[in-house]
Amino acid sequence: MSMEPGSDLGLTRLDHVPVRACGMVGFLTAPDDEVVRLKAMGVCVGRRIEVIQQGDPLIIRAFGSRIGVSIRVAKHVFLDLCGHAYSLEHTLASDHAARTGVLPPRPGQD
Amino acid sequence: MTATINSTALAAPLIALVGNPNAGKTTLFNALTGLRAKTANHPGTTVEYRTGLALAGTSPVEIIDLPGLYSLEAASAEERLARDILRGDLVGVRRPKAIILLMDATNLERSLGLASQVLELDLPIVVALNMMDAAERDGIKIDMAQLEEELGCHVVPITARSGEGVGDLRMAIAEVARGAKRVSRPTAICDSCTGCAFSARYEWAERVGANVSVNPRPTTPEFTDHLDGVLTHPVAGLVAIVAVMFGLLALIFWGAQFPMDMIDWLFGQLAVGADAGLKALAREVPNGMLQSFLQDDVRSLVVRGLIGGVGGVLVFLPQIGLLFFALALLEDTGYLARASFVMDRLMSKAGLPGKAFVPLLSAHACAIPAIMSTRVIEDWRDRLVTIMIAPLMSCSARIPVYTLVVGGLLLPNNPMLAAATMAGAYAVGAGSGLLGAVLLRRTVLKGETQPLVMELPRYRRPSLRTAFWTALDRMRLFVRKAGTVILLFSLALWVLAEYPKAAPSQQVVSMQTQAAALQSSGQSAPADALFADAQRLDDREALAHSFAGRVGHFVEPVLSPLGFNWQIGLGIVTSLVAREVIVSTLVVVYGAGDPNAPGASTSLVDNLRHATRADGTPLFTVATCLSLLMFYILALQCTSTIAVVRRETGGWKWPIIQFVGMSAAAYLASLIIFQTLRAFGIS
Repeated sequence: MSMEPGSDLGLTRLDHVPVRACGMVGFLTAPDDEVVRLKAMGVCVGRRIEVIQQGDPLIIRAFGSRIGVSIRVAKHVFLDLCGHAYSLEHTLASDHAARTGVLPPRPGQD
Repeated sequence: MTATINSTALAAPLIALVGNPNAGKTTLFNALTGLRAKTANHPGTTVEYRTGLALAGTSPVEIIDLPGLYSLEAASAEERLARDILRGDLVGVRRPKAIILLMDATNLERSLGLASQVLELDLPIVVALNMMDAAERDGIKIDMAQLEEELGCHVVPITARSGEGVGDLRMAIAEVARGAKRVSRPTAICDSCTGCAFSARYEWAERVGANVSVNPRPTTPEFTDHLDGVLTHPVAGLVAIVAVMFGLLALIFWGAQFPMDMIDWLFGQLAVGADAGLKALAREVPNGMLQSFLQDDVRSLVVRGLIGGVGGVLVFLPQIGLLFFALALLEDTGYLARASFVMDRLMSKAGLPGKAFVPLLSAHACAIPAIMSTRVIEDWRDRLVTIMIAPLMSCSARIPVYTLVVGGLLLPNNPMLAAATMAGAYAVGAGSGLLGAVLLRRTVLKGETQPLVMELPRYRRPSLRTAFWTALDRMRLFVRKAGTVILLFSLALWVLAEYPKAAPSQQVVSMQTQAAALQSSGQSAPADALFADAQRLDDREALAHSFAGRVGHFVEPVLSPLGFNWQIGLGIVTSLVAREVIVSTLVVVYGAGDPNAPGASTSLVDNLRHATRADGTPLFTVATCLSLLMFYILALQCTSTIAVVRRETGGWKWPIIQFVGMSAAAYLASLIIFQTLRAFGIS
């Protein structure tokens, strides 16, 4: 059974985040143009966002604004929910994802 | 268009107005430039911006209102255009001499995110800090001196909606236009960024925001939460959309009716006046040939071609004005973003973005303003699909045709079934549009819609002044651009319907002689009636003899499998100008008399009901009526729409594809209906 990307790093996909919960953006796996749009709106690695309403589309609060996000985009955004301790592994994953847009290999993987 | 900037504008320094979407840019631009603005499209693109002259101190400056931006990273055509203009990279547009950076005092941090990039452009900048009244209400206090120090440029607090502070802003613009105030670039924002550069900018924005203000990021007002709970709810939101859009359509249908009737009446009076004037002028001319030329050709050209053509264009103005006025108000309140949000999921199934919903609904009133309003859709392919299917929605111009065919010919004695059939016609139009979108997405415009990532702005009181100027700007644009093309089409069709001339037939001459005899014997009433009959017969024969009539005969073999004879074919050809023209064409062809006369529609219907084919069989059978109805549901019989699509898509390719596609669909659907019904003996 395949694991969901990010679950081994303790990250939660944006469309699975409960309403009113917040989190730091861990990484984005969306296509380039979507990533640019998201970043320009404040959905950027290391930034804190809050989920206002779930559904398709869902509503988040980012950088002082309410933003409607299609679930097609939301499933490419992974959050480290508020209250979780940052792990070294997650920090490395964030940096790697920010630079390359892809998840780092897990230890022991090729 | 930039190439047509007049000499005053060329002499005036160019100042760019830059800001986030929903920061009040349009309101400020209108406050600065008033009615001296014009909308421009950069050649080769459909991206729009406005330019206008404004007074800064005692000198004029030219303000260029760039599309709203979140960043200078070019993700969309709008952002590319804005970035290229700001950097001076756009051929044909001067590099701005300075920038007005519009920031939203109620969302300072987001504005600072864009500011971090604009400050690096090395141009003189004045910051206009807008919505100070709302910030005050939210308890946001901003230290202007500290903000000026952080940004290294002059900051002017304003409330663009009320005009407060705009005078001070003009003085500040005068200073930057002279190059007197350059930006002392703040501490490096992103010189040594690693990882996500955006993140570094946002951290800078947060730091500056925290330094200069108290409560820089207020919690969303409680009423926004409550209102969004309803307006973005999957079910309640849909109910709200139905209610709001019903109001919008009612406004366009009924609100525009009186001004449309007024315009129609004014042009009617103008035509009567011109007709009488030219007849009087012709009587003064001694030369017989010149007299005849003035009496017939020039009079017809002026009355039917010019006045009729211009009137036919201007009659749409109330609908366009009202639609854009209402849309501007709805957009200003923040509601339109919510409507698009709710509709996104449903529309995306047909390959359309949520933002296509409002234009498609508006198209039920008129496709022209609807196509113009597709500019709210950022993604070009999504916008193109919307433009391509908008004319399939049943517009108000189809109503006379639907009424004639369904209520007059098909179901004259069954109003309930007639109403259901009319509703069915609307449903077939909308369904065909959605099917068309699916087909386009699987063929020439392959791919999915751009997924929604859209700011839901704060709810606020709309600005009537901004809405008024938006409506005025759209009306001017329609008259200037589309009007010229539509007028040319109208004149071309006038030529086709008017030439070549034919001498009156023996029957017409005989009727005129009898009428003259009756008149000389004092029987003026029967004489007038006979003269009128002779005139109608002459008009009918002249039309049959004209190029348009010959076209009707020419297309008859193609249209006969659909159940249409040459007269209906002629109606289809002449109604290329506008769908409702088929009614007036049939009036002439079947000799129903003056279409404006009381009771004319009844006599037209009677004449049509009794119309026969060449072999003597009835013409308007159930099969022919349904075939004709389907043809007008699907066919693109509107030169105004073709002209607007050409303008919005920047060329003839898409309007040609649209015309051919819709005509082919109309032909095939009508063919299937007529032949199927005939096969079942229902013809």
